[in-house]
Amino acid sequence: MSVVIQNTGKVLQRYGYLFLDGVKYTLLLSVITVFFGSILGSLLCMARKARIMPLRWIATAYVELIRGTPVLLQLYFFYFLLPEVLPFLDDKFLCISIALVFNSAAYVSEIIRAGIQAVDRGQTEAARSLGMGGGQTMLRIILPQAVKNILPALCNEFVMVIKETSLASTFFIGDLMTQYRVISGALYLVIEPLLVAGAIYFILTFTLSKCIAALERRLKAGD
Amino acid sequence: MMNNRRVCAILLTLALACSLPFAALAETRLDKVLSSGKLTVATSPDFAPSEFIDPTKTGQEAIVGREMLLARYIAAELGVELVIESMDFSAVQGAVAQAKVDLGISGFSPTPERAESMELSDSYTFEEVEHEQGFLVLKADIDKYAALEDFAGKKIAAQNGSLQQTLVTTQTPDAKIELITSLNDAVMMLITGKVDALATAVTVGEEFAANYPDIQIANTYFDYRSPGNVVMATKGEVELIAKVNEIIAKAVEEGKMEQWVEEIAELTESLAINSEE
Repeated sequence: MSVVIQNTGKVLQRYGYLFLDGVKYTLLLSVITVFFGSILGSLLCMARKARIMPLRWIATAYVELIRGTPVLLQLYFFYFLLPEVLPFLDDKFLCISIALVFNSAAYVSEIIRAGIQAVDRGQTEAARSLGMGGGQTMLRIILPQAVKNILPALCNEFVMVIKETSLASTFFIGDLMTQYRVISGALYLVIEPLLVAGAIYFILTFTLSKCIAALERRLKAGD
Repeated sequence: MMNNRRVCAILLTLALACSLPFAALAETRLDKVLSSGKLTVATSPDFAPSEFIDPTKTGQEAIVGREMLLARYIAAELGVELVIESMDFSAVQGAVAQAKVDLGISGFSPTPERAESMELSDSYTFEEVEHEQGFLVLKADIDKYAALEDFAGKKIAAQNGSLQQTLVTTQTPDAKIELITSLNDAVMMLITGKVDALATAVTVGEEFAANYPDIQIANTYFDYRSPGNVVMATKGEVELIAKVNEIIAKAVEEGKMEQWVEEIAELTESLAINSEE
């Protein structure tokens, strides 16, 4: 065990900057995923509530398909096939980002749907009986209340995505887990870089979880 | 409703599957490489000294190793730019089979299975060694393994799709094989007692043993004479492989192989955490 501790120190000393690099990529990838995933997810959610039936079907099929297959499989799929279908998308980082965004969107759309559904039905009825239209009810009455449910769940999705991005290391994308692969592959060290990467992941997600808990308390204070 | 949903899912899958065979068919891959001025090579850079990432560099030039020097040599001889794509070992084979890349160079040994689904180049070796393929075991257990039969009932880790996997299934058929994606994971499994041994190239195993005093190369080896490594191309791209063969022959003739071995040995030496900076 003492060898491992010694080696960890040496790895940090000589190659610590690699992990900082990894953190940058992991966070960048996560931010991109959650940001665009939220936009796409909102659109999906709208599509699922649309009056046009085919739109509804497509959106529902999409969500089911994405949620019913593993992320790693989707990454492979996008990495290999996206540049075939759309040749201008021949960039590794882009392909993987798109895959993660498409994956996250399905989950975000469910989060938003659940958030809206959690708002009491009486609120809609009250708004409609006051003479508000469907759109106005949604925008002025339902959404402001739904946001309270959605926001913490969205932040949790961010924490999930941080961990999920580690799968992108299959394609040496540059995230934290990739850095582990780089170091272990070049230096024949296994446990040490894993320890460092693990500690960093934990620090990232733990801090974020605490922030989310604080945010939730603030939102609850308004009730 | 349920039915419609299912139909949609099937249609989507079909649409994606149909886009598969759209890779260019008209011109040969060699023409494409020469006309685009770009040679793409897939590799799994977690296998020093053949291919690994130099942590002190970034981008394309960070992907180094003996075989990567060969890749650069091939590109230079073709007079084109080299683009290396890093991915998992098993993904490399997929990328070549799918024609996503021009060549796959990742320490591949020629096997009949590979020859069936891909074009293989002539094989090349970097250095001759007496015992090529063996086992990493715990130092405490080193005396337990005097012959291959002693591995009966033991758990042996081997990389999925690798030569070692074939060796374990054919030469130690009574052992239980544990497939892994990366050798590094397997070393950890060995140290923590999840497996009893790890099938590996002896040179690679020795590097690991240098870092972890608890593990050692067993005194028993696989009965195996190396057929060397090969470059892989998509099935049917015979023109490209013929050209690659020509270039490999030239490299061997010029004594490049020995030169590359030395060059990479110096590099790995300088990168080790125990070395002076």
